[in-house]
Amino acid sequence: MRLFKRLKKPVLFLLAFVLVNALLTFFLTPYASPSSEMWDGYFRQQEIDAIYIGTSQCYESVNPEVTNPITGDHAYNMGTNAQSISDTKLALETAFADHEIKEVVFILDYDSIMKKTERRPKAEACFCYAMNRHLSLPARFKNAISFMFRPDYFCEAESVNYLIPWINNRSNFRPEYMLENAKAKLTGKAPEAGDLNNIRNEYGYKGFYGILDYDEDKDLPKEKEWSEEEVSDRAFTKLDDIISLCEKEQAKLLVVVAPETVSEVLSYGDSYFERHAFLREYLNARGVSLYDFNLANPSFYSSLPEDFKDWVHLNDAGAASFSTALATLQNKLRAGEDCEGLFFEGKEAYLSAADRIDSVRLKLYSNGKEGLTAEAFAMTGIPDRAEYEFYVREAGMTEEILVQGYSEKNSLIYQPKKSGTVTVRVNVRRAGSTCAFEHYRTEKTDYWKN
Amino acid sequence: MQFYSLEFILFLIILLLAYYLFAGKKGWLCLLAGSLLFYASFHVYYLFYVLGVAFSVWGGAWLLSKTEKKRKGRRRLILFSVLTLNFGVLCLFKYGGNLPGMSGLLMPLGLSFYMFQAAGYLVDIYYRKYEAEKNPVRFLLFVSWFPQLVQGPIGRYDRLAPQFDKTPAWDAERAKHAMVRVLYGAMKKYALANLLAGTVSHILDGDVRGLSSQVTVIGILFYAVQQYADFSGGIDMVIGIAELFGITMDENFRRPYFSVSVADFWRRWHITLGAWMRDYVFYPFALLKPMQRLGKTCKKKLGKHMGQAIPASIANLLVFFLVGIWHGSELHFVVWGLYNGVLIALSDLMRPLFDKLSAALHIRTESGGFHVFRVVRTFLLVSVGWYFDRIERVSDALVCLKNTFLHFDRDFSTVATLFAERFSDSQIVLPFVALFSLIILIVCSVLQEKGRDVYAGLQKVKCGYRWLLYIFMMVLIMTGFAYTNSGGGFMYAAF
Repeated sequence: MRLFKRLKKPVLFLLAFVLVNALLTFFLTPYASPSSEMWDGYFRQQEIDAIYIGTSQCYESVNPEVTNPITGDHAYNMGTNAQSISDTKLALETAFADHEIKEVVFILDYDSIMKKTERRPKAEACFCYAMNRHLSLPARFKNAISFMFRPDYFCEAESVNYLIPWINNRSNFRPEYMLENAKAKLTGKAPEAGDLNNIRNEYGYKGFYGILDYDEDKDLPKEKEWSEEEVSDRAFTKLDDIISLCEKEQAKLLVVVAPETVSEVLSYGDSYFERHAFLREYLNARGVSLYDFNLANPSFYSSLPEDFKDWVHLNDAGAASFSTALATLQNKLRAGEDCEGLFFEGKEAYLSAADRIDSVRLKLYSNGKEGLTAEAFAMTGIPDRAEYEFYVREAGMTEEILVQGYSEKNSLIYQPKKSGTVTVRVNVRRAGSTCAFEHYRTEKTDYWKN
Repeated sequence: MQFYSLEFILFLIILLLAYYLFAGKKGWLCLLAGSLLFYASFHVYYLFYVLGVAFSVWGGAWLLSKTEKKRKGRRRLILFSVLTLNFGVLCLFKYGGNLPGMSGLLMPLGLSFYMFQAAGYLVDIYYRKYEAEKNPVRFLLFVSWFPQLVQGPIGRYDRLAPQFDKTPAWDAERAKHAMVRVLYGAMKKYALANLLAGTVSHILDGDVRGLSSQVTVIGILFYAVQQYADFSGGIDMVIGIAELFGITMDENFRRPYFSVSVADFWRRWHITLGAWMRDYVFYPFALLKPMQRLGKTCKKKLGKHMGQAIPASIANLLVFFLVGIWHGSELHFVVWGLYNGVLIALSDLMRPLFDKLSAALHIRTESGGFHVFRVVRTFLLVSVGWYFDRIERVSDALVCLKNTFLHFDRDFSTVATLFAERFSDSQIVLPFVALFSLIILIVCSVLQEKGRDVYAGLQKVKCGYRWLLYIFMMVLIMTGFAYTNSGGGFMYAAF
């Protein structure tokens, strides 16, 4: 009795906290997340004999509704948002246990195998919550414990935050969203059901209709470097496990890199090709082939500018053409055809094929007395063929004024008349073109006359 | 092992159970085992350093205690040998990055904090302030006491060590107080400092010369809050955790942004470092014979005030040079340290002038209005110092200061752009979390500044309201985590 009296208040406080947490979880965790949609859809499938798996580049790029009629498979897309290699393995183990899988197409996102970007605690927690909804209580417990006690999470905040789902799986704190979400949960009806922008199709594919605005989108790929030293040993161990698992289950494993914009590929410079060569060698040594659709020969497949919803994801139209090409590749490989010729070998071949100007990057430097420097780079495989035009708008001006007409010179040095925010716009087109511009970019900087 | 992690929570629960249920009179051994385990969880090789510091200092102190007082030369030799050895290692880690074979060698976490703590003990023994510890293992606990290991506070042997000998006795009220303190600290760290960190870095880690004056000021103000919330929040957690074991640690902050002068600020900010510098650098230096001679000369030629102020100012400059260099060997830290030292020295030297000026202008220096003026003035002066502390190049910091004071722009479009970039639609709740946390922090600080015991006041509030506040603070912390990828380390753990 004394113990009860002593513990009454702490227990009540804990219960109050759990209640608040449950309410927040109810209102804030979305009706459907990429993971919950995937697992809900997966457990509805009667027959699966092929799997597409990977990150959002998988579930937004491969539509089994398109591939199945070509390959004759009953494929399901098990891609989830920022899926880690560990979760890829976990999903495959589940699929192998439940179905007779004959082929696995792993849409590889390089971020998931690099030291700096492989850690995806929130996505992994969401994956775990969504999977747990379909498991027995002991299996749920085991899953949760294995997440919280994972060596890289156990000593970090993620181990505690697993117990608070709305930290890991929430999209918006706006009251109208929370109400709509609660309504959807109570009625069991997804918001705007049937719209592919909100929900996956029955094969696990989720399409988006938007088209990337190459000139206005703020997330233009920045210059990136890739180094062999940055690859994660842990991720590669998991990759080896996946290869062994597929071998054991006698399932064919294909590793594929989904199409990205030319700007994204070029943002890596030469290291894109080094990265490809490194991974191809690694996989080939283990009897697995790698196919990078960014390096596909245009006679086999090429993406169009309007195929992308952002710099690294295809939209619905792009996914349809990529899915067709992927299924064609699968069939050719099954028929024993040599498919190496369908992909470029080296950098030069790719660059000469990537002859369109995809976008233009603009960098501004404010150098005090020396003025302002603008440097533009056309994102194309053949930059020599680009020409640039610069406009400037200083603080207080109503419109931009032309300060440097079209020429091959890709930089501008400009001396603002006064301090304040300066806006620079660069237009770019292929040399010899008469169009006003093919692409443009606008950047702002604050300039001070020191 | 981060404080906010399952690993630490389990560690703490197990250690508390072991301490209160099984340890009995050997409680200190239990705490020692826990402390070493805690430190080893970061890197096993860290143990080598904490053992090295503890045993070298204990050995030095033991030798000092065995050496007769009149053998001054030998005693000095022991003192300086042990200090040189320890501070040499510290300097090697802190400033030897460019030496061959030293690049990439990481400084053991918290090394400077426990080294300062141990060095303080050695100097106290040298001056025979108290008896030397006979048991090296017991002394190891004083050095390695786990809550303080990472970022202090820098404890004193005579206040901390005797507490380890107490027989553990659980006190539910004390535990409640401790947990509220931990919660308050966690809110400061995770719902305020961590949320501001991204914006501060976004503003001040790039090309700062091109920043508008308003954005620069926002960056510095955010940094002032971030740094305080991070460090003092961490210290609150440390003190709270220690309190769970019945150990009272020294306070490290006393509402520094309510200071009425820069000297007052340094008596309220990182108090234990300031006190350490005062006791082990300022006084020993000011009492050196050449400094005393200088004082006498100044007194004779410039008057009594200058006779005291000039040696003290020189000692202050030395102290703040060391404080600056303790933060890092980069020039901007040295400039920041000296900036504070110069301000304190000038205010000390010119005090008679200020007094005369106040009298001539009929300023009521005891009035509330003048107090507010002094607080605001001090905040501005300290904030100017943050330019040098945070901006990594002195020339950049000077340009930013020039922009702030000479080019203050009335066009606020750059601020609007900044907020639009940082707090997009999906992150709209983030500024509110930081704001609510800041309001709680300010309310508590004001009440404490007025001499009120906030915790005691809370106990008088109805239980439901109190719980509501606690749960609200917990929700703020959790919401903070919804926008950050991890707990992040403490800023001062890097020093």
